[in-house]
Amino acid sequence: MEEFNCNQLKNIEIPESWIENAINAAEKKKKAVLPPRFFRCAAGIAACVVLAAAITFSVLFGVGDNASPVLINTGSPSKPGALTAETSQNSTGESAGFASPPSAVQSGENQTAAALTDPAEKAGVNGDSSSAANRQSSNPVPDSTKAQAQKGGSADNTEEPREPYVSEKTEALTIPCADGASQPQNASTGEKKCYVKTIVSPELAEEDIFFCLEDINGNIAGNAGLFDSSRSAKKEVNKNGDIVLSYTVDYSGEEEGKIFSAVFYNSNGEVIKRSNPVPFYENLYFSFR
Amino acid sequence: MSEKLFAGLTYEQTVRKYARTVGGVCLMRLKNYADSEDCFQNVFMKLLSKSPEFTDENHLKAWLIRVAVNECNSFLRKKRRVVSFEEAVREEISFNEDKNDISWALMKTPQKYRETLYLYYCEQYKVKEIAEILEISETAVKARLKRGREKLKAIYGGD
Repeated sequence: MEEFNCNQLKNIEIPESWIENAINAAEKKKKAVLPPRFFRCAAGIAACVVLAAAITFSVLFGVGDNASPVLINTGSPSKPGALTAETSQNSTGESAGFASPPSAVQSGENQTAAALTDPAEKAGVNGDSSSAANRQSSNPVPDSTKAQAQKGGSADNTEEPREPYVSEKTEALTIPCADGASQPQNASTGEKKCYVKTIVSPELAEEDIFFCLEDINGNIAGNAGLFDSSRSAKKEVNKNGDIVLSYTVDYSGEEEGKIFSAVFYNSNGEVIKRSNPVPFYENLYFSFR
Repeated sequence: MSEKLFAGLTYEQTVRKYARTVGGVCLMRLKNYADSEDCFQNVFMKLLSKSPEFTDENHLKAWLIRVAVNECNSFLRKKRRVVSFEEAVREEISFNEDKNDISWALMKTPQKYRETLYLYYCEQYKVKEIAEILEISETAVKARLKRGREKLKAIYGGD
């Protein structure tokens, strides 16, 4: 008897007819039955056609509905009162009505209808301060922008929204700066120091620069974020030849981690530069030219 | 329309390359040519109808073996419920007692050892891979190999 060895196991031979039958069966199946992918593709095409038709249908009828008020609003010379009211509204310098005519049209057919039916009432409404309320109903804007509009300022969205704060900050700046920032700090309040360094141009270094840290609402950080650079800043020249102004900001621990921007004003109270908002931690480094 | 490829192989190439593997698994399980051929055909029909995506040929081979095992299990379940009149006349595989090929002895071992030994020695699968294909633990595979070898040796030696 030969010695037993499992490696003597060999693959079992199968009849060649099995292979031929498997291949032939596949050929028959291919001819007889379309693959499921065909049905998925056909269903997809059908869905696309239906969707396209539905979109076309809805767009056609949707445009028709919106088109009628446009024609009434702009093309009715028999209603001069309404146009006069619009003109008087815009004569005050508030360009909201003309700035966004599509929104005014889309804002509501009721408003347009009211203007057409009772021009006198419309004129009366525009005569008082409730015109802002009309705008609010037709085109909602942020409170700050509305406040500007009420003051007679432009409601143009392209203008920097923080600009109106400048005058307030200028007033606030002048008061503490008169006393300087070198007032003795109360050690018991747990105030910390933050060192802010700023690279400035040689021309700017000669000016009096006011500096403060503002949070996103325009509030000044802590109780000591306000400086007159001519007195409190340390002026240095780094190895690249840049003029670096260093500030020491005392702040309370509560400010730490909150988001602030470094804002620099010239002696006229104009914003020279506003940094990107960053978390307020020790050893801040604001760089600007 | 281009022909579907299975791990880079056409259907015909796949059938020709893995026919012996799939057929062997079916024969190891069913020990019957007629039933094994049915399962064999079903495996390749499933490959064609499901058209799964394979990462490589090892993946394809493992999938074919797994489907073959499932087909055989399914067949055996049906067989328990329905007893055919042909059952009596169906011939089991018979091998000549060749000293260089001990497949005849393998066919005489119990089914669970036969299958494991076949995958290990004929298809050169590792214990871990066999465990994945048969959905049993690696310990069980090792135990089956050990006992299967003992039984095979006993059959071969005439014990």
